[in-house]
Amino acid sequence: MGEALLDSLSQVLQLQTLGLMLLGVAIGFVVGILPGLGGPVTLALMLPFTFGMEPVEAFAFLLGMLVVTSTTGDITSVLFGIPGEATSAAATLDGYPLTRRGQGGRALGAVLFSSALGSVFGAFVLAAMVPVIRPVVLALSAPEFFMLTLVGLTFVVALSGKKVLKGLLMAALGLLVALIGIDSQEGIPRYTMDEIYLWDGIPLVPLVVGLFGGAEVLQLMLSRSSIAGGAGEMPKRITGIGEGIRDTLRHWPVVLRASAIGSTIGMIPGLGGSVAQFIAYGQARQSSKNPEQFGKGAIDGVIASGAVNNAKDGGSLVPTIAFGIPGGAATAVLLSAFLIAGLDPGPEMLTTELDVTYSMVWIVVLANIVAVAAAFAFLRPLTRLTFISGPLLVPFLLLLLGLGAYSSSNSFGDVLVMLVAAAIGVACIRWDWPRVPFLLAVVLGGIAERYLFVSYSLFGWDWLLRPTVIGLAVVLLLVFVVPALRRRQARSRNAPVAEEVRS
Amino acid sequence: MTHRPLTALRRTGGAVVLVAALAACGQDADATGDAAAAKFYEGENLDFVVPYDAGGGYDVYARAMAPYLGECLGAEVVVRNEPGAGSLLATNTTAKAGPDERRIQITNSVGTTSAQIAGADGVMFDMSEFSIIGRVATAPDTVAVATDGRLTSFQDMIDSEETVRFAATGPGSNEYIAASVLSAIYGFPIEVVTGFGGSGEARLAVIAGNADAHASTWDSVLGPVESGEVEAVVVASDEPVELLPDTPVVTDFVPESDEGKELLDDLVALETLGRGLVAPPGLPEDQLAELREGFECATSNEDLIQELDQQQRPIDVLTGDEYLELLESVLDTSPEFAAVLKDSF
Amino acid sequence: MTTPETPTDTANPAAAERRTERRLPVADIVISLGLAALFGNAFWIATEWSVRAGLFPRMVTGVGLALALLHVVILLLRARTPVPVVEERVDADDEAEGDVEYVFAHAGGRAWAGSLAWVAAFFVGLYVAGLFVVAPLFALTYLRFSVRRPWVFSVAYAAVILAVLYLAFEVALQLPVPPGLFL
Repeated sequence: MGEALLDSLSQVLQLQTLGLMLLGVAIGFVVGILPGLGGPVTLALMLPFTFGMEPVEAFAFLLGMLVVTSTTGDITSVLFGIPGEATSAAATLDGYPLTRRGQGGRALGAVLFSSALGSVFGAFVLAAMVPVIRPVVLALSAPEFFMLTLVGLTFVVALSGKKVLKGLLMAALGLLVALIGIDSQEGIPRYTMDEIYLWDGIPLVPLVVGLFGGAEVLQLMLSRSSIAGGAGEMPKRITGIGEGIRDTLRHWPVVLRASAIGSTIGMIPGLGGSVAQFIAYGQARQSSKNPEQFGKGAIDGVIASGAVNNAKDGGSLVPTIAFGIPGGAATAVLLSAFLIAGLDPGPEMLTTELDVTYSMVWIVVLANIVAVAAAFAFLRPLTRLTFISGPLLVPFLLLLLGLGAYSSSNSFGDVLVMLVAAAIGVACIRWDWPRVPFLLAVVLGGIAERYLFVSYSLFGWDWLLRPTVIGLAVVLLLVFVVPALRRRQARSRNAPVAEEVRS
Repeated sequence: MTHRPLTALRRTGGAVVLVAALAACGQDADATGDAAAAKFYEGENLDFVVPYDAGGGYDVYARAMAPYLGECLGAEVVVRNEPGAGSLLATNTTAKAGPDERRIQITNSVGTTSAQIAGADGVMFDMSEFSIIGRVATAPDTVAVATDGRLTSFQDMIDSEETVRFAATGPGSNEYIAASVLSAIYGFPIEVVTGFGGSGEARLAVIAGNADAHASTWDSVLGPVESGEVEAVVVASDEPVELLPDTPVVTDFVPESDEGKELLDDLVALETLGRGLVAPPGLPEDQLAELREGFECATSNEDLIQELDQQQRPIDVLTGDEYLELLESVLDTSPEFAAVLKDSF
Repeated sequence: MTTPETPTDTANPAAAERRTERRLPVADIVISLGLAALFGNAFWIATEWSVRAGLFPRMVTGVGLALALLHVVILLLRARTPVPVVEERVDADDEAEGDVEYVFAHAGGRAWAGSLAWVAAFFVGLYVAGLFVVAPLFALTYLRFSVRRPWVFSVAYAAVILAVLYLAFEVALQLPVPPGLFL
């Protein structure tokens, strides 16, 4: 294994391969920053150029591009509160508040550095998984996926803060929105208002972009101050990037846990990054020493969302490599690249073509390091943007909103969904209702229903007795019980202080 | 890459331009000829609509063809993904588009024609009324089972007393239709388990042994077949697929009932519809002729054929007239077949 | 409406104001009633579906309806008997949105009308005229007439936007953008 690893590294370090990877990274960098324009479309656009390339070259180009889009997607989330991808929503929750306090540099430093660490972790998970890929992926099935969605849904309570009832109501609304579309059991259009556009359900990217970005843009228009308006004048030097890196290193357990969650969920076809980010974020909040800071600019929240996002890419390659079964649109394009390069996915990739598999590991690592290093070079000018007069950014940000929504399915319906989501987002802030439980429920609701029915259809009620399901049920209990116990402990210890605050 | 036509090269140039940040925007000069006035598409933008997300089989065909089609027509062909309602959304839009809209669409003709025959909700088109450009490729559905599963051949499936469990995303999908029609023809008991997030997930359930079989277009089965995880047991066609030489065709298995025999003929005809290329209804004669010529010119280009072969997505062309005839004969199907299709929605 | 009690919030005048006079939280009640109506209607629609298709919708809308009504009752009770809210869990996105919330709550009617009109103009323009027309046009007019920047600056900004859009979407990536009704 060690030899193959080194061998593949030397293949990746060829001049031409590196050059192609850098080109891919550059394209992915730009595309990732544009909201909505995600990895799959870009990959599909670039696929024809891989004709005639060697396998490792083709993957250097395509994979380099793909992994970088998830890194740079976080940048707009943190700077403008507009998620660059559906998977970057969690990064806005704490990153953007930090920016508003004038700590954009620190937040970006943390999110990028943790992204890099997460991707390295994900890549090594992929490498380490090689011998056991098959049984692990096959052991996971609909019942486990259902349990995972339940774990995710329990975070609704934690993420609604002290407005638990409002949070639950928003979650119910989110579940209702998730129900929109053709039902997967009998093909009945549910709540589609006779619009065929809605048959596939509410598209996630416009929803996320509107829910978070819409309110921020309107806020800039109304207040006419800069994004970091509360922080006073623009500092002479943008600092804090180093601090963000140090924060990340200090919170290494958060990075580790979020990466583990990301790469595990990444392996599961059908769940993917939009689910993983919230599980990692919720988990980080549960295990944080100061959960009350989450949503207000907790640096560990930023770190968790950065790490999970990139760790998932390594994981998502697993089913593609091992079974020839792509877990999502992006890996579907990569599968085409396999075929173009004359490679057959499957066991061969883990035996005779092992060097190609390992070269993918290296590409994920290297591309991320290059991208993060490049991003650091742009950080200062980017962060400066948050100090200039807000209205100057408005035409540009509105454009991001419109394009980000439209590129989801190239239909004006996407823009309308974005606008409705923006209205919901604004109303939530104006009247103090939590937005996150709503989004969480939208993301998880449809999946939960589908997997519950599939579990029942496949296994009857026996699915409840699967060992992995029981294991996840235990996790579910711990999610509720441990923080409660910890709080009780903390409360008995700090009882006098708590009294003081209340009075 | 040196053999790629101009548009593709220009696009490479474009990507480099973007990366090098606004270096050379002048490269995009259009190669418009003098005869532009005579041709409707020449020198214009032509939308090539894919009714699914980027990354799937239809997308691959469209993106591979676009530059060649552009070269043949002298137009700028832009691929546009308009996913929604399992291809119905984009197909409806094309049906509503006027003849002056420069829009063509690759169709999942098996799916849309079944939906039309079944009178499914959301169908606002008549396949035979489109201005038919031709057929790009066939995509007969292929049944796959786990390599070490309970069923090892299609005969096993036909003889099965136990319920055969097919995995599928949802009613109305090609995988659902193929499974239920096969069951109707050969009279074996099935249950279609729906709710999977995509074909990949459904197939994984088969590999894990949680479901027995999965039906999908042959080219999407190819990857897992070559990985040795699944075995393709039957192709719903009357001629074998080149890249799956060991897989028997469905016509090798004679149904017991006469009704089954008729249904089988209908299924085979339906499956030959494959992936079509259409333009909005009511295109003027010369405009349609221009598109058909461009299509024939593009699909006879050796480079395109080789490029698609390399991706294991071969083309199998029918001309516009042949394809229209085929479509009309399939639409004029027996009420029994229509009834079977109806059950799949 | 719950009262923010974290120490930093004392700086927030809105919070201080609210703490002294506890009135009927009209907005919350209206929203909850609206949600109740929505859930009720959705439940009614779901009753027409078969068991398998209707199970989840009925559960979700039923629970949602109950929660919404419960919320209204609690709000009304709390408004009648003002009890200090006991802070048990700490809030996820309260303070961060505090300043944004302040902006939304205290922007005058004219500012709201103006901003919404600009947003509406942008998106209607996007629908009617398409991206390549509306993006530079909006940048120009918004910067000139709303932000009151000099003409030169506004024109330059608009030109840069058009150039970047054209190069990125039309030349390089050839990606579709909102075309407008006339293209």
